[in-house]
Amino acid sequence: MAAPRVPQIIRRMSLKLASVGRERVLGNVATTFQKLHPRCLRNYTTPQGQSSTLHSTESTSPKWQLVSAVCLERYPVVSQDRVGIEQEYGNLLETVELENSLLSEHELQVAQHKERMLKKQSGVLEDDDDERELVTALDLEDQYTEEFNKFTPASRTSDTEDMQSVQRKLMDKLVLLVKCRVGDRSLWMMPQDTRQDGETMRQAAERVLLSQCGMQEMWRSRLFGNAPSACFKYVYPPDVQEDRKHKGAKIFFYKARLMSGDIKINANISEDYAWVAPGEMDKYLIPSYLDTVRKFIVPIKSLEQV
Amino acid sequence: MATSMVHLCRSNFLRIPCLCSQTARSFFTMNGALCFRATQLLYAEPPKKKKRVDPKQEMMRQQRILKRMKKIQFKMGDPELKPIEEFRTDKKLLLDDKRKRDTPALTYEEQERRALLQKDWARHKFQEHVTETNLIQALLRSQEKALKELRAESEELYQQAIQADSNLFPFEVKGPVYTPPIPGYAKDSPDGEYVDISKQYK
Repeated sequence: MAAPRVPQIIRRMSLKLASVGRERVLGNVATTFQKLHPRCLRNYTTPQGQSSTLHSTESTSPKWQLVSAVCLERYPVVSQDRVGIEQEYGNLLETVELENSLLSEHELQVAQHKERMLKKQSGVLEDDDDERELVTALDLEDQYTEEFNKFTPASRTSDTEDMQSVQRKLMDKLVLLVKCRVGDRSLWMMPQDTRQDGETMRQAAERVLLSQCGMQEMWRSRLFGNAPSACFKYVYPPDVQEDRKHKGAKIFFYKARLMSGDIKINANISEDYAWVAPGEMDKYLIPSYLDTVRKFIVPIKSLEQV
Repeated sequence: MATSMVHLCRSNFLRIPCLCSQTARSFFTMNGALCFRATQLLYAEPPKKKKRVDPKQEMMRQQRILKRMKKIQFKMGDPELKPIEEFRTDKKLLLDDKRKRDTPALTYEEQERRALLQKDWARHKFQEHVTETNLIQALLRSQEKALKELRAESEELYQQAIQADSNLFPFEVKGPVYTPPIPGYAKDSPDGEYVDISKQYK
């Protein structure tokens, strides 16, 4: 069955999430549950036997449409600040290392210089001419600090408010979210597309990266693994169900990492896009979608708000 | 008469088993009436004939042995590990008295503070480890559920999904830096080119 164009599907779909429930409600999935939640037992229908045909499922009409979504992450550019006990312990380690160390050449020379100065002042030392020609250790120190102060490194915290900028929060991990039309409203989600015939789920994810994010060069981003990281299910409303001949859609998430450069969003498919930190995702995503997403996105430890 | 007396004593001596220890040295030859002489106890090994030592051949032999030993050592690897320069302090520096740093002795409060901080740190790291482990388990659970859902739809897709990703390794990525790179900074190193002269150990 020819896969319909992506915009059409997305326009037709409206997410009735209350009726579907969470992932835990496994309507037509195999009988082995890890946790038998009471809600599962209530909605438990007779198992259909795992798509009984082992060779191909194209003969039996699938109940769910398969969609691949890509979670494109930009990892932190800059290391995080030390927090609380990390700072204290870091200081302790430094002091201990200093205490256990020996004096370096430079320090010896500084000490010598100071001795000479004292002797000079007390009037013991004879040769004054030699002293003026030599460059003392303290002078060298001054030279070094001067050179260091001339150089200004780039700022660790970028101040851009632009949600579309990839240089947004340098210490945090950013995830790409796009805004697409779904039914009668626009929703924020990860870039996704239905799987076409003859494709594996991972190939569909690669296609999404290519077409929707403008990743023509393969080295600019990296998809990890053939297996999806999470699955989000939702049921179509009745009219769409009849039209599509599917009960709903299953979105499989694939993780990818932005290695270098920036993205070019395909404006035909998505209205808007943003680079969102894991802590800010609740302002964009709908609650059930957010729950699924939180399960496989690893937040940065010290900036954890998720 | 004297000899017969000695003979009797010796023969009696041998009859007491605990006192009779027949070593090669103390092989008693006065036993029987015949008193014949026997050689030392050889333990079934005839004495080796001493070969004339040819010095050249001796050297060759020793060289061959050395070669074999070197080969074995090469396969086994060095018993002495390669030194890490950063962890090693030069002995000369350690013995030099001028280099001793005079730090005041630690007060009791300071020692206590340090000890307690160490314990706090251990606790903190342990908590970190626990959260990390739980996180990994949650990730795995999420993936297993997704694979289950996929399997429910299509066995073929499931089989393709559980294949190992051959493009995953080698994977190289440079970690976060302290300050981000300045855009448009000089392409060549501003300090000039340098040659690494650190010691290489075989």
